[in-house]
Amino acid sequence: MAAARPSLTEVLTPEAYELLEAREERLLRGCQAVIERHNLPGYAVGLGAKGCVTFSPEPVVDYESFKANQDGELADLAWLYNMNRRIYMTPGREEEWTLTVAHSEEDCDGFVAAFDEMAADLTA
Amino acid sequence: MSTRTTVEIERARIAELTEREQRRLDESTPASRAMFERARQALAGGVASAYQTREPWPIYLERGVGSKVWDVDGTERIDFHNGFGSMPQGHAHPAITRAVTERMELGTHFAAPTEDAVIVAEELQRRWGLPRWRFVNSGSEATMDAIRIARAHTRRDTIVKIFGSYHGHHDYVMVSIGVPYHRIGIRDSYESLPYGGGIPQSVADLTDPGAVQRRRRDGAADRAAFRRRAAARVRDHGAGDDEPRGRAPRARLPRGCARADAGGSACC
Repeated sequence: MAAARPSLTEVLTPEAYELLEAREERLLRGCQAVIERHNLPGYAVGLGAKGCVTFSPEPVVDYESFKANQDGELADLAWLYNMNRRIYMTPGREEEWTLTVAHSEEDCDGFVAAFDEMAADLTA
Repeated sequence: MSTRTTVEIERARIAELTEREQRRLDESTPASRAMFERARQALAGGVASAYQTREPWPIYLERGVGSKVWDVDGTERIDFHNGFGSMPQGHAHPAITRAVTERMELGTHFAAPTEDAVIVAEELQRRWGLPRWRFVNSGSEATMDAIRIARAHTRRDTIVKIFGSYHGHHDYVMVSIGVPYHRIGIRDSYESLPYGGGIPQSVADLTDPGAVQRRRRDGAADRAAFRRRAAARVRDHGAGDDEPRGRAPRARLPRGCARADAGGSACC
């Protein structure tokens, strides 16, 4: 409760949520641009502080469509690329990222750069 | 997105890059490897939770500040994991660190209420427009307690969950998550599959992961059947969407049905 109190009253304020949305938008735009520049299957999707890149060529609307179109090998490779390029990403296939109020634009750009490097290596 | 022409990525290329990147990560995490050898002698799987396991060894962290974390090899990374969504505040936020430090000096556990709980409840009440709050230790406890309350209140046993979603660690909801594609079942009648051993099929059968699909298909007719049968619908939400934004969270629920959020809240 001692932590929850300032978390609500001083940290997760309306202004903080606006910042989170701006960072989220920057990250989603950056990832989507990589996908389109390299003609990868998939898309970037997110809401609030959470988001992910899925390599599904079809829109994922529920677990069935997720599982039918999941590319586990590519998701595993993306995690390794992130870890080797100073991006600590959620483990597990196609898990979502979580942004914080501390993330900068440069932090988001770092994530996009690691993804871009993988896309370039895959399509070289 | 479906109108774009996409490249066909060669599986051999993915395998080649995976081998290269795996080797690079292994070579840069010798301290994690050593920690794993020690940890596995005392911790099950060498980790504090099954969600932290990884082959060939987990990456052990040492500290975090803001958006950054450092592993036991001293490597700095930008954290996009953030506790599976539970840390939108970032690590060691000064305001939270100060408050916790002050509380430590005043004592921390009394098994008695404190003003902090009242202030947090008042703020959540203001944000969500929900009248009363009860705090628990985790999202698992929240869904477990909410389901129990809903069953007592409605005198119904069946609950509905989203197929494939994680809603907590107790038997009621460890059903039909992480299921291979060939075991999902028929779309209108998804299977109620216990997640591993120790969860009786009779318990899993009380959890219906197909009702959401049937409601979409059958509309009003199935909504009525749902109302007669289900004690609760379990859902979850990600970090960052806990602002009400003017919507009443209960407005979309059938009357008499409870909601349990794996994010740590419950209402009915």
